[in-house]
Amino acid sequence: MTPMDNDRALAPIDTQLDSLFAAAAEQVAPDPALAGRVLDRVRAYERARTRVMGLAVGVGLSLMALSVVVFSGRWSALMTTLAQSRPGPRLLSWLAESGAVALDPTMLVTLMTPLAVLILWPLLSGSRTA
Amino acid sequence: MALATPEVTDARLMAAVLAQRDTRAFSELVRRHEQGVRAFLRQLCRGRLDLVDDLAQETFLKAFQRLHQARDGARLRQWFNGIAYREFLMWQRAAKRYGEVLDEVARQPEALHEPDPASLELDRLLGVLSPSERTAIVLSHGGGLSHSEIADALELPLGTVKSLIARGKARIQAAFATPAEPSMSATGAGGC
Repeated sequence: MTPMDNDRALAPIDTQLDSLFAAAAEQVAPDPALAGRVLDRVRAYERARTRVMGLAVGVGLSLMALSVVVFSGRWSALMTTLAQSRPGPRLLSWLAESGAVALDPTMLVTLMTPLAVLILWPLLSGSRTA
Repeated sequence: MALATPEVTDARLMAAVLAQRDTRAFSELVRRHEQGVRAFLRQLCRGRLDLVDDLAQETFLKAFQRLHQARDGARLRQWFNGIAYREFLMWQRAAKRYGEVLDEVARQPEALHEPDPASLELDRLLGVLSPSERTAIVLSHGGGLSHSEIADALELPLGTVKSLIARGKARIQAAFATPAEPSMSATGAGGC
C-alpha cells in the first residue's frame, strides 16, 4: 500500500476525529473572567519587570558614578575626609562643612543621580503600568 | 481603537502588544482564544476543570512574555496551544514529583467535569492508543498543530511524529472498524 493509499484509507478517521474534537470544544463555555485574571497577572509581571529594570539601571549608574569618582582622583580625598568623620546623623552636616566633597556640585550630582533613579524609577514606572 | 471587532485581526493586536506593550490588546487576544485553549487543555487534562483554568492562565502569561517569538498572527491559536502543551508537560512532571498529594486532590469530585458525549466518544477512540500516539493525535486534531510544530513540541523527528499519527489512526480504525467491537474504557496516558 502506498502512502497515498494509506492516507485515503485513514481519511474517515481523520474526519471523525476532527468532528469529535470540534464537538467537544463547543461544549466548553467561554469564561469572560479569565481575560481579567490574566490581565491582573500580566500587569503584576510588568510591574515586577519594570522594577528589576529600574534596579539594574540604578546599579549600573551607581557603578558608573563610582568609577568616575575613583578615576577622577577624588577617591583618596573622599576616603580621607570620611575617615575623619564620625558616623551617624552628623555625617551630612559634616559633608556640608567639608570642602572636598559636598561643596563640589559635580560630585554631589554624580553621586545623587543614580540614587534618585534607583529610588524613583521603580515607583514612577510601577504606578504608570498599574 | 475598538479592539473587540473582527476587523482588528490577531496580527494587528499582536503588533500593538509588541510595539506598546498594550495590555488591553493582549486582553482582547485572550478573550478571543481562551475558549479554544481551554478546550484543548481539557482534552489533555481529561476534564480536570480547576487544572484547566490554572494552566490556561499560565499559558497566556507565558504567551505575553514570549509574544515576540510568535511568527505568524494567523496561526496564533496553534501557537497558544503549543505553549499550553508545554505548560501541561511541566505540570505533569511536577505531578510525578508530588504524586501522592495530587492524587488526593484528583479524587475530589468537584474537580472533575461531567463529560459530554463527544468527549466520551473521544476517550473511547483514544483509549486504544499508546501515550505517545494519543499525545500526537490530540496535538494534531485537538490543538491544530502542524506535524513540524508537534515535532518541536514533542522534541521528536518529524518522521517519527508522522508515523505516530498514522499508526494511531490505523489502530483506531482497526479497533473500531467492526460493529461488534465492544466499547473500550479510556485508559490511555497523556492525560492528567
